[in-house]
Formats: sequence, structure tokens, C-alpha cells
Amino acid sequence: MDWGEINLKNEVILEAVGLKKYFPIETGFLKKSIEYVHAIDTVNIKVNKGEALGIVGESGCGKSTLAQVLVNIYSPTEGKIFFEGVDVSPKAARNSLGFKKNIQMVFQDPFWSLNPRKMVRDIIMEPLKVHRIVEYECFDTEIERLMDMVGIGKKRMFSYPHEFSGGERQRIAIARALAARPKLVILDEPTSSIDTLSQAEILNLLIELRDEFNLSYILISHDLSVVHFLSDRLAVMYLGKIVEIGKTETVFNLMYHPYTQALMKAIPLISSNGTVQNIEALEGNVPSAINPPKGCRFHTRCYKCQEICRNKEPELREFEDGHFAACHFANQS
Amino acid sequence: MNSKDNVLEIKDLKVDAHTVMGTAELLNIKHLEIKTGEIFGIIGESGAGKSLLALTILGLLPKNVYVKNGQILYKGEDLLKKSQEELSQRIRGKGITMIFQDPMASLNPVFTVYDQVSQVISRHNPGLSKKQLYDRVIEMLELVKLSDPENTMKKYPHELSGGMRQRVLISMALSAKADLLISDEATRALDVTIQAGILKLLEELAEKLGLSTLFISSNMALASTVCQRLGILYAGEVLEIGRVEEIIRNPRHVYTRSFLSSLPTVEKKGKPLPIIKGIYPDPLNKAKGCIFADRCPDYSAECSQNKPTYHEVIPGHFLACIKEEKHKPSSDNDMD
Ligand SMILES: Nc1ncnc2c1ncn2[C@@H]1O[C@H](COP(=O)(O)OP(=O)(O)OP(=O)(O)O)[C@@H](O)[C@H]1O
Ligand SMILES: [Mg+2]
Repeated sequence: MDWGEINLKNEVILEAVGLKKYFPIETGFLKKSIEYVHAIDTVNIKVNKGEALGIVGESGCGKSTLAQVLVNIYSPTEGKIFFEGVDVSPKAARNSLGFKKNIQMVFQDPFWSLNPRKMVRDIIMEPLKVHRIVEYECFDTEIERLMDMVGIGKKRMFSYPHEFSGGERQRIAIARALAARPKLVILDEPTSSIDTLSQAEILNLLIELRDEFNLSYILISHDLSVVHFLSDRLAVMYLGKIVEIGKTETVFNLMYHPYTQALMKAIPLISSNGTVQNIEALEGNVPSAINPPKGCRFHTRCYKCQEICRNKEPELREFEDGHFAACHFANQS
Repeated sequence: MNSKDNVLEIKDLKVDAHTVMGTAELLNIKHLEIKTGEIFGIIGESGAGKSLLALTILGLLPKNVYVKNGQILYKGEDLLKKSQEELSQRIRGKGITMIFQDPMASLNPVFTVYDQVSQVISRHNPGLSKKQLYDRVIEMLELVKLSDPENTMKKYPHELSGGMRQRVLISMALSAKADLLISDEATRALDVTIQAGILKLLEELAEKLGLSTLFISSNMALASTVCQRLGILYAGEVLEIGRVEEIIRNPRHVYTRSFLSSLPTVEKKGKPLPIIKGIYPDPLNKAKGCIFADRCPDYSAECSQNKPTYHEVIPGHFLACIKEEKHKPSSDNDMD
């Protein structure tokens, strides 16, 4: 079965339009002034039903902030969010139980996201209670079903998080997220704190669950092989902006944006025939998000940089069907 | 094999721990060597004993952990016969230096980069003039490719990025004339773009200065890009050692094969990843025979009788598995 082709019916489940999130910080020592970290700056994304959207970029590029705005941990500074066509931008709409149920999040380190003083049973029961998924009498059967689904023996219902391995804790976090029967699950670095073999199990599990429930995912990761494996579409972020977005295969193969190229070249990869990619480093550091560079934000590190790049911010332009990149010289090598 | 080519050689090393539950067997390594100027990788999952191996080499084991037997030869001298005093005066942070995932832990937060690097240099080169010392610091910072050394050296550790901190630590190791660097997941917290720079640096230092590195990682792709040889560590035992290309193209141990096939490579998209069943061995209750026997799809009764001998299957490629000996009868003839 070709997983990449299942569902591109373009039934949009989540859409963000012109999303911005600025965090105020105090700067200056004697004369205090307020400046803003431009964590995400005018981001537009769409996620279709049953689709997995991957988001990659260096730390501080805004990928986790984007996720946190989408699940309502932060309110956006500007912009609109639509869920199944309904405007959920007002805080009240996103605080409603209905919305909360539909979008669930799984974090990087399950050790910190699972309450260490609660038994697995209580951890999974919480969303069942809050969202009244099943009747009280059916809680235990439902918990058993969820544990079975993620491959944890139901006898371990009465164990505490510290009694599980990293991979198992991540499964429990997934079971808890699924307990609410969400339509969209946001996965923030779901496998980066666990080993290769547990990672493989979690990836298989995520695929199975998606196929079974037509779930949508937003997957945030710095590991491109994980992102490639799970995502249908891929967005590359740099300093709060999406610089390239399109079908995962197209982004991997065509790499219109020089930053996408740099990111891909830095990743240690082994291919199935046992060749190891020769890596290259990207010079320079990520500039400050308080005063992002004028013009193209990537120009300070870009090998293609020319006069126009320092002055004019490039817009996202469509190069292939549904494939966008924001670079003045995207199709010139 | 000429042991002069080796900066480090480990023989018959057994490390155990006293615990409330009994004796835990943590490391059991028949033989392992790191050649001068090579980057040698140790790959293993969490709990394999990677960090413990590093701590054993440096003589920094926790109180309840002890070396039962074995030798650790550093340029021919057995480190296990040395006193703590000798280790701290001549070896640790001098000949052998370690870098960790968290570089802040090894840097002094109240001193500038200049203070910390110059201190190491003057300890090793007493009698340098102020000007000479300054020039040496610049030289060392340039050696590790820190941009703008004159500015960087005035900074405090917290003002540097993670990648820059690792570079400062490597420059301190080089200033102390270290010839063996142990990197324990030192790039794990870094962005891939920054990590790539550190890997390039290690390669360059090996080539230019003959610096040897023990590169500890749980990431096979990462280690394969920078190492020449890899050792696969499983529950404290080395199952296979060989050149990187051999290990990843022609893995001989079932565990190595499983590890590789569970990587989500680009070609595997859309299919379930093969996984091995079973749980990681408990150090309190280790199998008498092959340590991997209970999870091995090729298992047969003889696997649990004795430890498989650690033998050379092709020149330079070592393996601990009895099955493989039978699969390759031709190697019998090559042997003698
Ligand atoms: N002081 C100790 N007493 C008893 N057992 C210990 C002690 N320190 C470590 N161990 C055990 O030794 C084994 C190896 O631990 P080690 O920290 O070397 O693993 P590692 O390969 O570095 O793992 P990771 O990838 O998680 O860092 C583990 O089973 C661990 O529980
Ligand atoms: Mg470790």
C-alpha cells in the first residue's frame, strides 16, 4: 500500500491564515524598553483530513510555537485559525471542549508530560472524563482498548510512568491523546528522546492509527528521516517563516530554497543500500528573532545572496502544483 | 597487530556493580582498540553501557561500580593499574579528554573563554610571555574554527551557543595536548546544521593532528558519517566491530541487522519498519550464553550454552555469534 497517496481529497481540517506570534521581552538595563521576539511571522498552513504535515527547521525557528498556538497554549498575536471551516480564532471558541477534544498533542519527552504521581489508568482516564467519551461504567474497557491499541499490556494499567521505558511512555502519551478521539494530533519531536528500535515501533504505530482512524498529523521534528517517513507534505521554517512547502517528495528532491538545501545536506542519513550521505555544515548562526535580518531572513547565511535579497523580502511563489518557495533565485542554480 | 598503532586497547574488561538487588554485570568486553588518528564509534541503545565505558577509561566510576578484571592500555600503559592521583595528574583532562551532551557542565561559568583556554595553555607551557599566551589562545580558537576569536574569547560560557561551547571545550582538550577525545553524545542537543560543523571539525583534527576520538552515539547514521570503524554494544557486550562500510552494507550480527533495518530510510517510506521483539537484558540477570539469544530469530539451543567466541570473520571484522561461523564455512580455510 502506498501510504503517501491515500488521502489528498483536499478536505481541509485545519487552516491557519496570516498567523503571527510575538513574545514581548524587556531589554535595556536602565532604560527599560519592550522588544518583540518574532516567533512566528505570517504563517499560512493547511492540513487536510488524513494527511500528515511535517514541519522542519533549526531550533528557535518557531516550529514548537506554531504547534502551541494551534493547540491554544498561546493565543496568536494576529491571524485566524479555522477548524473544519469554523473560525476558532476567538479564544472562547478555542477554549470550548469541542475544539480541545479535536486537537491533541504529544510532546517530545513523555517523562515530563506524564504526571509521575498518576497511574497509567488515571492518565488515560482523564480525557475520557473531561470529554465524556464513554459512560463511567465503560472506562476500564475503554482504557484497556486504548492500551491494547498502542501495544501496552492492560495489566500494566496500575503502574506508574517511571516503571516504563522511554518508548513505552511515548505509547502511553499517544494512548492518552487518542482517548479523546481527536481528528488532529500534533506530534512535537515524538521520537527524539527514544532509541532507534523503539522509534521504529512508534512510527509503525502512528501509521497504523492514521490508516485506521483517518487521523491528521502535524509532525514537528528535526530528524528529516522521521519526517520523510511520516509526512505527506513538508514545510521548512526559518526564523518564524515558512520558506518552502509542498509534497514531501518534491521538497526532498527539488529543494527550491537554499535553506532547504543546507538543511538536507547537514543531515546524517544512511540509505537502504548502505551509502552514507556526505554532510556539509551551514556556516553562521541563526540570527536573532528580535531583529530578524531585513529583506530575506536567510540572506546572512545564503550562498546565493545578492543585493535584492538584502532589501526585499521574497514572497512564497508556486513552482510546481502546490509547491511553494520564498526565494528570489529559487529556480536559478 | 602492532599495538603502537593503537592509542587505546581494551582487553577482557569486566565491570560489575554492587546493588541492593545483587551484582549487576555492566560491561564484558573481550577486545577493542582505537587506532591513532581514527574516529571510532560505539553504537548502542540506552543502557548499553556506552557512558560507563567512557567512565571506566577515565577511572571515574561511581562508588558501587568496580572493574572485576581486564586491561585498558593507553599508549601501552595500563590505566587500571594507575592510582587516582596519577590519573588526575597525567591522564584525565590531559591525554584523554571527554566532552558531553551538556558543555556547560564542563565550563566554568564565571571565567571568560580566554581565562579558561589560557589557563590550560600556561599549565602545559609554563614561562610563556603574556603576548605569546594571547597568540596561542587565538591560535587554539582558530584551530577549532571559532569565528571571530578575538571577540569570542572575551565572552562567558552563557553568552555562547551550544556549538561554540563544544568548540571551546575541544580547543581546551587540544591545548592540553590530548590525543584521545571521548565524545559522549556531544552533538545530541545541537541543531543538525551546527552538529555537521562539529563532525567536520573532528574529521579535520584527526587528519591534521592525529587526534583520536571515541565517538559514543545511539544514532547509527550520525556515527557512520564521521567514524571509520564502529563497535556495536549491546547490554555491555560488543557484538560486532568492523569498518563502517562493512557494518552498514554487510552487517553480520542479527542485532546489527535489526538495528539498521529499523532506521526509517527514505526508501522504506510507506511500509512498516521491521522490528525485533523482546526486551533489553537486565544487568542483574544476564544470560550465560549469547546475550542476544532470547530475541534472536536464528536462535537454537546451543546459543544459550556458552558465550559465542569473539572471532575475526574477515580481516579487521570481529563478531560474537556462533551461527555466522556456520554460515560461512569458507572462512575456516582462510583461518589457517
Ligand atoms: N552506579 C550504578 N549502579 C548500578 N548500575 C548502574 C550504575 N550506573 C549505570 N548502571 C547501569 O549500567 C548500564 C549502562 O549504563 P550507561 O549509562 O553506561 O548506558 P548508556 O549506554 O550510556 O545509555 P544512554 O544512551 O541512555 O546514555 C545500565 O543498565 C545502567 O542502569
Ligand atoms: Mg550515556
